[in-house]
Amino acid sequence: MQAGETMAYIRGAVSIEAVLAIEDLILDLPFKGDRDYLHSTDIFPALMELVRGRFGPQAQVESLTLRRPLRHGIQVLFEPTAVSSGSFRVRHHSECCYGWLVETDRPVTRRTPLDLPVVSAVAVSGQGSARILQPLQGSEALDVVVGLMKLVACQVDPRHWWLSQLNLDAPLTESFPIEVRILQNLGGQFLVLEILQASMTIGSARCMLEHKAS
Amino acid sequence: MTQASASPRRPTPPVSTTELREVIAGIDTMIKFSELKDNTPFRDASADSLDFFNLVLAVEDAYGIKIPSDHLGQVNTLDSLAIYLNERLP
Repeated sequence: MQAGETMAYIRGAVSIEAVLAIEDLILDLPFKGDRDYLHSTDIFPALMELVRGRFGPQAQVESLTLRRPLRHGIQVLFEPTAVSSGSFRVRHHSECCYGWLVETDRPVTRRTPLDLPVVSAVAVSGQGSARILQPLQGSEALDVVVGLMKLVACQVDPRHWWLSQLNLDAPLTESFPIEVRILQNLGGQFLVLEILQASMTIGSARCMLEHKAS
Repeated sequence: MTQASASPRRPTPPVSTTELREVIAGIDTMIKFSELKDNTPFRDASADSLDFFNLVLAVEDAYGIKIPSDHLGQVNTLDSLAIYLNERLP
C-alpha cells in the first residue's frame, strides 16, 4: 500500500502509522442464535471496539454497510478493495476514514445462544413504527434498535429482511424510548427507517427483503 | 454518509443521462462509473441490489417522482431511466 493511497481515504490528523498498524485485522465473531451468518449487532460493536482501540475512545463507527450475508471470518481493511462484502465509516472528532469488510475463508467456530430480544411483546407498535419505552434487561440499545427494525419491517412483509445500511448521526446511548419508523418503502422490497432515541432522530437504516433466488 | 439529496430539484425535462450520473454519484455505491455506459445495465457495472435500490431512491428524491415496484425492471440503464423520467415528468 502506498502512503498516498492511504491518505486519500484518511482525512485529517490520523497518522499514517496508525493506519498501517491496523491492516490485516480479522473479526472473530460467533454466530448468533441459530443463524448461519454473522449478525449486524455483533459486527457493529466489534468494529466500534476495534476503531476505539486504534483511533481513541472518541472514535465512532457512524455507518455500516453490509452488501451480503457474511458467513466466515471478516477481514477489516482500511483501503478500498473490489471484493468487499461491506464497508464502514469512522468519525473521530472532525475527521473521518473509511474501512472495508472482506469475507475470508476462515470458518466461524463459535456460536452464542443469546439472540435478539423479542421486542414484540413490549413494543408499542403503530402503522409503520414501533418503540420501546424502557430498557430491556440484558439487551444493548443496538439490539433493541434492530429488534424494532425487524418488527416494523415485518409489518410490510413477514419474510426475512436484511439490515443493509446503518447510519448513526449520533452515538447510540442507553436512553429511552427508542423508536423506529418507516420513512420510505420502495415496492415493499426496500425500506428506509428512521431511528429515534429519547425522541430525537439519531440515524437511519436501510433494509432489504431477502430474495431466496438470489 | 452521503445519500440522496433531500429536496426535489424541480426538474426541467428532458432529463439527461449526464444529469442522472450526477445524481447517482452522490450515493454510496459500488458502481464502476468508468464501466457504466448509457446503455449498460447497472448490474453489469457492479451495481448490486443495494446500489440499485439506493439509486432509485436517489432519483425519486431528486426528481420528486415515485417509481412503482412493477416499473423497476424498466429502469435498469441510464438511458432507460432518462426515458422513463422524461415520459412522466411534467
